[in-house]
Amino acid sequence: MIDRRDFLKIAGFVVPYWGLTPIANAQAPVYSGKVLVDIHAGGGLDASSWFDPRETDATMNNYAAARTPAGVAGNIRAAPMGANIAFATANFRRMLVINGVNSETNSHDDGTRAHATGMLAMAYATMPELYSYAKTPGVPFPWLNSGAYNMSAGLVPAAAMPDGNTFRQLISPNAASATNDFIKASDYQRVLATRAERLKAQQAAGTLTPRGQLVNQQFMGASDSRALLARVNQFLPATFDNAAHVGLVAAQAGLTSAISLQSGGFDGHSQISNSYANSLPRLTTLMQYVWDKATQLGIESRLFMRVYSEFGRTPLNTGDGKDHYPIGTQVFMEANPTWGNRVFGASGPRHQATRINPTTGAVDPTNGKVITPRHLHQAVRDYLGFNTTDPRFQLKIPADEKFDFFNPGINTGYPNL
Amino acid sequence: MRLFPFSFGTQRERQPRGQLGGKATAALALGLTLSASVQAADYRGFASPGPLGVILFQACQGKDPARNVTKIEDATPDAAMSAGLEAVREIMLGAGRPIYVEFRGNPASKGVKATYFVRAIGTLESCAAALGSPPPRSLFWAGGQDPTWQLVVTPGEARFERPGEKPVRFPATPFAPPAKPAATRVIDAWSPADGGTVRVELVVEMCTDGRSETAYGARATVRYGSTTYEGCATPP
Repeated sequence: MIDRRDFLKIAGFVVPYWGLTPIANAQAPVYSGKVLVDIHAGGGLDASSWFDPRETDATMNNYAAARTPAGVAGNIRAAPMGANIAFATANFRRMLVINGVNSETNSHDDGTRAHATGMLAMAYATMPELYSYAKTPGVPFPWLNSGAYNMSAGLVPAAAMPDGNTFRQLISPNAASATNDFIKASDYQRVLATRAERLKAQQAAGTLTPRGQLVNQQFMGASDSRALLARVNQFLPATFDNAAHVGLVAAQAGLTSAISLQSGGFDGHSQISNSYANSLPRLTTLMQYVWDKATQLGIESRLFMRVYSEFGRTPLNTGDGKDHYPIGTQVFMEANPTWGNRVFGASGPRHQATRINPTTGAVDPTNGKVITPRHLHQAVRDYLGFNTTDPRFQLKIPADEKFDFFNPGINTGYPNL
Repeated sequence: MRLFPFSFGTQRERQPRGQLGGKATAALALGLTLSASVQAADYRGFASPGPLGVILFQACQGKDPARNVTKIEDATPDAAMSAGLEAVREIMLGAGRPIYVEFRGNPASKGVKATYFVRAIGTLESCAAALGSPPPRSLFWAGGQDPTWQLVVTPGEARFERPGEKPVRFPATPFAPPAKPAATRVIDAWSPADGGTVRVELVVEMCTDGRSETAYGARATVRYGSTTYEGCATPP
């Protein structure tokens, strides 16, 4: 029989509870690895209006009725809508198009979650959350999010993308304006140094309660994060163009590893050609902006981009729009990848689900599998190296369902042509 | 068959009601019995879930929403309206916002009693946007996908439309409201202008395609030529 005091001593010795609490890594190096840019095309992006065009069936597309052919850029075909063709022409070497992805739902909320996390079931971590947890646990903004799916599984909370002014204030809290400080800079630094010394002395004395130690550690961790934030000063532009710009500057400064963005307007239930005339160029402009700005900032080679939507869309309805349909398209991009200029996966003439052989990429009605979001997530986890042994986040994919999407020797192309 | 020439107001003229047969439920019969003694009404506006399963309703008055929010008592057959609202909410974009709904019902002491569910549309976000849907002057609508089709009845004619095909015109008379509304109805029509016959079978029950963020108060089967078309419809 042990009393309560002894039990707490033993428990504290074996597994101190504060030891389980993740804290900011005081010596976290500035992150210089791959940055995941995850873009949600909100509303359900029609595959026919993107990179899985149907060019001859007038019941599928207005451009087919008008006999307007798709644009061809390398091995990729782009629907003749918006600025698709210009974008593909400029970027096809960077692009891997995955067609025939089955969301397994027609619900906006469920489809968004399935593509963000890989699973229809709840409580799975999103791709950016898991990636940032694995790669940058100690940086100030592991996962920056601007309007995309942000439900956390408890690993890393999504940090709302600050606007340019807020970002400046976070980086330089003593700055009253661009030219004036609240406190004289030398005094401010002296206060910070004195406080840091006091905290270290308290820590070294070993007289703090466990709770006090934890608070102390977290405060010091935050101070280190502040020091990291201060590094951004050297990268700060005079003005920020948009949320993507803020995220890219944070990535350039090594403060983040995952940026979630959103570009909506794809729920085209009626007059889809009209509504997509705005939403498609808005999306491709955002994608192109990210690449161009990343090139300017010198971090182009560090980006891995994914563009997904919650589902695809049906053939044309009586209102010249398209309704929800589970089969859609995703795009992966990287600077000069070995796996670019390729199309993997396919859907039927009316975007029906199609079985693809995981190892050859060919349409295979017998041994093939229909591509789902979890297959894509597993492939990206393998490619970027953030697989987890945590049973809560396993995607439970059988060995014979592992698609080799990033193998440059495997293509599906457009079998409906 | 009852037709629904929406006036885009909250009140409609008195309509004859009668006995129901076939799959008509006790709830529908109750609704019609009650309505015989009160002013019948067509309602259009936005429905939101309230506490304890209550449906809150803000009617549309032309292009604008009414100032007051009332409560809907769902007395539609098999609670079709509640089922329809739920079906739309499951797949719609922005599932937390109110859903545009049309129904037939009567004023009740604490709000509105809904007796016929006409349709719910998740893609409409304002009363003004709802004014153009369905197309002006349409009295009855049925439609579906795979293949895509629709049957639109206006006061002058009925048109059966399929993309890529010439529309087939029928007289509107066979689609006129029946003297006694029923839970099922079969309509046969012949097209003197374009040739061919059509048979339309309607069943009053919640119907959705699970794709268009829309639910209707009836299920429709249309037989034209050698092809059968399945879909949803406004109720008979």
